[in-house]
Amino acid sequence: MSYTLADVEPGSIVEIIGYEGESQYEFKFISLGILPGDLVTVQSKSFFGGPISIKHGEWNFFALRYNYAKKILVKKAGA
Amino acid sequence: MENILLVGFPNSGKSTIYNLLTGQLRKVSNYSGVTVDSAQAALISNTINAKKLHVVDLPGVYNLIPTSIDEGVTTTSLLKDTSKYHTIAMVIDLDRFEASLSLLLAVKELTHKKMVAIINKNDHDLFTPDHVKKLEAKIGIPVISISALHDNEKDLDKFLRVHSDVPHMVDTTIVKPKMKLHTESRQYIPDLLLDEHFHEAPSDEVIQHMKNHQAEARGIIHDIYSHSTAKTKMTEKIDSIVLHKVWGTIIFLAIFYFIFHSIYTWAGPIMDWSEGLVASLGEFISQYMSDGFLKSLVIDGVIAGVGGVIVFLPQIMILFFLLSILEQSGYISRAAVLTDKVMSTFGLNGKAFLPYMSGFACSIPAIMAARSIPNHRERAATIMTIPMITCSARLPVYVLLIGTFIPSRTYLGFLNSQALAFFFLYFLGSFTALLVAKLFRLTIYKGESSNFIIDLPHYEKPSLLFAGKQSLKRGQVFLKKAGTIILGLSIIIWFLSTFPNPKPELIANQAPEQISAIRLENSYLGQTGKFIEPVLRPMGMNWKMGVGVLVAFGARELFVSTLGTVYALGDVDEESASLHERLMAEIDPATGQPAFNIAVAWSILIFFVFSLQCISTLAILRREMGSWKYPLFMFAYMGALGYGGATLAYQLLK
Ligand SMILES: Nc1nc2c(ncn2[C@@H]2O[C@H](COP(=O)(O)OP(=O)(O)OP(=O)(O)O)[C@@H](O)[C@H]2O)c(=O)[nH]1
Ligand SMILES: [Mg+2]
Repeated sequence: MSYTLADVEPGSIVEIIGYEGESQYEFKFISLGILPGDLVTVQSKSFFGGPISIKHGEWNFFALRYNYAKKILVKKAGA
Repeated sequence: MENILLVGFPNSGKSTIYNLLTGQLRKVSNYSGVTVDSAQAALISNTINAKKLHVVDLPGVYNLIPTSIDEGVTTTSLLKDTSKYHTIAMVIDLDRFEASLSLLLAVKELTHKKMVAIINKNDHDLFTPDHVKKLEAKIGIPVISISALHDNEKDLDKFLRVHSDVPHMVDTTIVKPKMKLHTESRQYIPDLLLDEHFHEAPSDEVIQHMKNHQAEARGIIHDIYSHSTAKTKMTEKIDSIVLHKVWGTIIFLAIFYFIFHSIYTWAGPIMDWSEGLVASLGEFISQYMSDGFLKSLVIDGVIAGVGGVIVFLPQIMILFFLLSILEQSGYISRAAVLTDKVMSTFGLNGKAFLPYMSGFACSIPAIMAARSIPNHRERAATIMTIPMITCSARLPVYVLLIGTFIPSRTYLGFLNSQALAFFFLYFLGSFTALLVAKLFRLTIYKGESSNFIIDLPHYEKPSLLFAGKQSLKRGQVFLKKAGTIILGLSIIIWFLSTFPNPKPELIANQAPEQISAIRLENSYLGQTGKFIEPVLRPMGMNWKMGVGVLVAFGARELFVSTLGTVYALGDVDEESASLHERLMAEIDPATGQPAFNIAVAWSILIFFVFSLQCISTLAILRREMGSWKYPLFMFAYMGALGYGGATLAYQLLK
């Protein structure tokens, strides 16, 4: 099992290492300026697998569906 | 005349800038993807300048490769018929500096056109003239930094004029590459031609190309500017509560309840006052007119019909005022996050939230807003259910019936029974819309529900002035409708309910009160009503309510104006001045009981929740979906729901 953004506990900071699956996911992230190597903080998660809200870098905020977060491979920042 | 295209990220402030420069009032909201079509207008300053400049507002895009119809509009405007415009003004969002700068780089790479850059949202002058100079040097394009929200248009206007006068040297020896896109994107740009406007390329290549731009943008910014964190901190703090698992939902419900509550409690006194005004206007005029048809036309047709609708102006304005505040604050995108789980359960895209939300104002812009949903089936399921969301045209009907028939009580010290009834109707419409959408997604519009990522813009302090302007604008639209369509139809309805004259033997030897009732029943409208009465009976409606419902298929407000006219004409005791007093006073001759009761009121309300009584919606649907089968189907299924629902409500409550 790979470690994805969906597995991250709220409050932790992780580094993006890549995207799984179809290119459309990668496409969307890149056009929002979220690149591999960037740091992301998980802000909050909702009940029952609702969207996850994240902070990208220092000042960008996004929310994404759980299924989407599962496509984003991450590792612990600095690890 | 020279055209300037405004191109930039969603939510970067293009429409705000457009409004600032042209004095228009295009919809602006702190949410990504608000604008879905293009609009063009002349600069205000054209009146004092020889050179005539126009600006074109376009839907926001994250990059040039479209993933939905609205984004396709922007790509097409940029690449097709480049002779139609003169300058591209790139709007850069300082809050999304890197990514929006990368869009600029992508555009610059493709075009020979003159370009300028507008750095927007520079509210606290953190982006200094020195930064501007450095950025100009890096990208080789003139730059201005502004705050479209706080500055006036002078500097920006001057900047655009100065640069439109500078001759633009095109070095034609430099061949610009064609845009590269992958096959899936082609469906959104039907007007562009392969090899003339773009080339196809594998998606890896397209993505790599975008990555390069992002990296380049990052490098440029790194050298010149670093961001402040005050705004970020505040957004983080607010979000930790507003998006909280538990508190988030409570706050969400509280906000929406508050809106309905305010429509009731704030508008109440104003409405009483305006109803009184309409009534005394009627009395005042009637002193100066002699009895006869003309007087009846003015008093019973125009004043009772149009006046009955106009008294709802305060509610409409309050609704739009509050919605505008909510939109400006940035809360709407949080609400989209909170409701996303529900949306996805019903098989809808997260992007369907905004169209549904706009549906509370009016279905027409809401149906257009659905253009931002990429997948055709998801878009169809959204569009086909939007008209069930309670739009502002239903407001007069709801307020009239709830205000008249639901006694005002207070529960738990703050919940008001009328506001709750109101809330329930809104909820019923929205919930059924979702249910039907799910049904569609399981049957005719089957498919995977696509994924969802949403921008959460920084919170902004809403401007009351702007909200006030928006609400005034909607008020004007409402009055205009009342003064044209509703006025015209009220006059027609008066004719139809006054003529033909009844046979003399019918009214011979009758008391004067009886005569007006007999006249009404024998009028064209009365005969129609009597004719359809058997169909209405299961819903508990009498023929007067029936003709109201029938006429309301033209526009929902007409229900109120028709009842206004019909009840004014048939008014027996002459005591009751306002429509709601007349409704309460009506006695059903068959039973001797009041014609209206709680069961009838709910039946009518439920009918209005579900059925599609709006010709403009049908027309726009035809346009958006390209075939009459959509409006026909929608009309049929919503009508069936309305009839079934109303019958059920009446039979259960009577
Ligand atoms: N703080 C701040 N907010 C601004 C400024 N200019 C615009 N806004 C706000 O930014 C939000 C988005 O503005 P719009 O004009 O709707 O953005 P747009 O670029 O037209 O967005 P789309 O139509 O979605 O592409 C609104 O809430 C505006 O009030 C500014 O200079 N400063
Ligand atoms: Mg816009």
